[in-house]
Amino acid sequence: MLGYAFRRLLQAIPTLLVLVTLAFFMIRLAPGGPFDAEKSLPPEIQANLDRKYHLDEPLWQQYLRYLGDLARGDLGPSFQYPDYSVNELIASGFPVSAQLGAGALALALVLGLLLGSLAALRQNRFSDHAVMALAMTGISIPNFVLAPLLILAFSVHLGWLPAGGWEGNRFSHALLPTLTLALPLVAYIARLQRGSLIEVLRSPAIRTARAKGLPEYLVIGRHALKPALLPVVSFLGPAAAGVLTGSVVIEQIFGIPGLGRHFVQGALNRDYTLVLGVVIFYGALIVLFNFLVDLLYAWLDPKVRYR
Amino acid sequence: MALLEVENLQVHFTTRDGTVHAVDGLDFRLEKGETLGVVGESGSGKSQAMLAIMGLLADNGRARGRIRFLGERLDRLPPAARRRLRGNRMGMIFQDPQTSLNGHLSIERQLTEVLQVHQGLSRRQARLRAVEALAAVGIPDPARRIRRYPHEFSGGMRQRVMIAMALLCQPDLLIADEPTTALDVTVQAQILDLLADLQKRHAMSILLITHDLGVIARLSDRVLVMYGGRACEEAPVERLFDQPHHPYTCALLGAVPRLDLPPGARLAAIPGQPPTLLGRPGGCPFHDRCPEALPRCRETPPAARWIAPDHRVFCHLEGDS
Amino acid sequence: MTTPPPGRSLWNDARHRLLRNRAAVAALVVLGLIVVLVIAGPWLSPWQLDDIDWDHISTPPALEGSHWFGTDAVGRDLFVRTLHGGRISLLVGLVATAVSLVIGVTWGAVAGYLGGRIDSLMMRIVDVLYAMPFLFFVILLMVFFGRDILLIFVAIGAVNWLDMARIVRGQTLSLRRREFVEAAVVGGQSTARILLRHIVPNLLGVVAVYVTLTIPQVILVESFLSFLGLGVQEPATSWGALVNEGAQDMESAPWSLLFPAGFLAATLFCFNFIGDGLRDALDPRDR
Repeated sequence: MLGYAFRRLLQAIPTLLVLVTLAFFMIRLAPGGPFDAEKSLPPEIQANLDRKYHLDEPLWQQYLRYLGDLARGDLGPSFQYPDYSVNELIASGFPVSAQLGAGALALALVLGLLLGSLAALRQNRFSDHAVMALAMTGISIPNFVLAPLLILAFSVHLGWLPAGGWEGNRFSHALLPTLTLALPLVAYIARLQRGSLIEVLRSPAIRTARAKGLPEYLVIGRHALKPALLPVVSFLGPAAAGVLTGSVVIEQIFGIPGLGRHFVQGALNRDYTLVLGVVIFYGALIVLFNFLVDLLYAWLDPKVRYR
Repeated sequence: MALLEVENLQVHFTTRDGTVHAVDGLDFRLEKGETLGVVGESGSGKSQAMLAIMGLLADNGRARGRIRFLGERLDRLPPAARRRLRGNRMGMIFQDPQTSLNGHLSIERQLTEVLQVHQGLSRRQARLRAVEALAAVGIPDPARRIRRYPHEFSGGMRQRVMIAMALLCQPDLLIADEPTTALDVTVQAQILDLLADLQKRHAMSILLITHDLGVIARLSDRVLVMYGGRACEEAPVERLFDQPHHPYTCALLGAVPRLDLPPGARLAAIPGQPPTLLGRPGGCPFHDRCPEALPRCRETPPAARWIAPDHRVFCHLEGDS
Repeated sequence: MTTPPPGRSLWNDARHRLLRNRAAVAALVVLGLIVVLVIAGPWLSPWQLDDIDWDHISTPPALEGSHWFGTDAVGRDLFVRTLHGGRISLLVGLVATAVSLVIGVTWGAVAGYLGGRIDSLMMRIVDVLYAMPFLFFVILLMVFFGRDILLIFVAIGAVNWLDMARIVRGQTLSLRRREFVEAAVVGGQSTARILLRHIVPNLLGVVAVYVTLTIPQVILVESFLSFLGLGVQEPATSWGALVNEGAQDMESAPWSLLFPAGFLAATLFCFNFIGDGLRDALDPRDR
């Protein structure tokens, strides 16, 4: 098991390297510089700025310099907010996004597993069809469509919840965005779990468990659930990535000061370092998460664990 | 009193394409301590009949008829009571031990839970008995091996584990559904010998389902031949091989490849295909493949005819074949 | 002698099963209607995409008059805008999926067929790319390289081919070991020919399922981009952009949100249903 973990860790390194390189060159090769948005500056000031931010050096040199800084954990200064470093901006935005994202993921898992299992155990009956119809709707309605509808219903007409903003982690402010972010995932996980559990319940191993005269709660709880969970666990990696990308839009709509919003602002303002920093940060996060998920999967599946 | 008495067992499944009649009126008895081999091809209904006896039919399946086990009507029992019999007084082992054992649980877990559920043993007591059971089926070093997972065992070992698991509570009846089909030929013999040995030790009855006549010859006392959901012939094993009466039995025996055939001789096969079990065909299910079918065979299903006190045939043809 | 039931080829069997799936058939019909409406609908209306009707600003939908879906807050006819938006959204869906398809199938089939080291390498690349936060890259592309519709096609397509590649590779691997392929290899056919004539036709089923499931994903990505203001340039519009506009006028003119949102959701719904139906039809297991 330790060897497995170590190998997966090693595989993460080239992934990160590719990520950094891809992002760096894509951003740097874009036409237009970071200061184009401003009014045109006199050439000497432009030259000074270029020199300060090393923009006058050849590209490969900038790349190596960036890698060096990265190794020390320094993501550079922000271009649009010169008083702040990218690290500081990430540090201010990320906790908010993390809270939102973690909440959404947890909610999605709990609800999705419950609904999916229910549907599987009541296969082809009304509750199954109902849950699956709901799930299908959840997948088909984009969150930026759902969000305004929910805001319309719960904020404008009913006045129960605020339409946006983020005060500390007040529940009332967190509820709608977390829900909207979680919903498509709930749908996906429910479908996945239902299919997986149905298949496991049809397997010969479950027939043997019943042939042994075990009570149904043991058949399902001890024999069926663990193997059924495996596809859902595999999905956690892409799920986390989905939460990250979804949060970009959710933060826009609800006016939440998270990292997603910083990213969009940075992209529109051509803040190279911020944008690069966020992409690398999120990418590294996903790689780390995938690694943890791999470990979890290996722990759950004896065939992988004891090789 | 016989251990198991089955009268007019019918099993049907409701599907989107119609009703499938897997078993269409089956009768037999099983005495204490004897082995009844049930032979038939795929679709003969042999497995479904066994699952019906165990109470393990799929959701869309229904069983009718009388099933008496130790004098008690199984078909009248509530599901909870039937569940208590399973794994306890009646055990079942299946064809492919690789998929029939749960790959996610340790062998220990899968064995001890049977004892905990049916006999209320503590985890530690159950573990001790499980280790003994593994030793009894010939697993070496059982105390260490018991912690392992199914995929760490070979095919033959896995089947031994399944057998040990089914016999933990010393059942009166063991149903073995194609126990050797998925195994190597050399291992097959070992498993069959193991079953014979255990049967003697536990004074157990065995229902042995298979399509392999060699397995039948080795282990059975009596044989029941099935086709298309019905019984064709039933006899003690030697009598069946010596004097088969039903055309299907004869064809089966004739189809077995033999070493003393002249080279270049064609293998005998039974022409045609097994019947579709959709809807209820009238008459004898074998009539369209039977080389000696009479017009009557298409209309009326044959009733049992006793050729000897222990040998009956379900066929309209008179005289020896 | 009983006649054996008439044999059905894989396709016939699948089609038969698909047609029995009433939900999928209904979805096909609805989708067909949407497509017809999107293509032909704008000709029915006297209004153009960005015509402003000063007399009818933020009017609700009405069957009399010419603004059947109403107008938005600027006075533009919603019927025409929604349908034009549909053209763009569906077009992006199809073309970007086609890009995905070509890259994914080629990659997967080559990797699965060649096997060994090349396969490992190609799949490792897929694994690495899988971990990239792709939406971010697409956003970057749109922001820095301009909002050209061709770029949108390519960017979204290039981002979505990974799943297709994995599935195709898996199928190819199992197909390669089948006897008819071995026969072709022994018979001396060239690799390319074997790929084209033996492997690819057998992939069609799996690919068909994934195409129907990729199209909604692609449309979703495009609408995300449009929603953020990074999609097609004005005056062209797509459902995502319309939802964005509609959300801003949600309180005064809710229909400007509801119509494009409804069309978008319905289209995604239908594609997902059909994809599911196809998957069940091709997989011979009773659900």
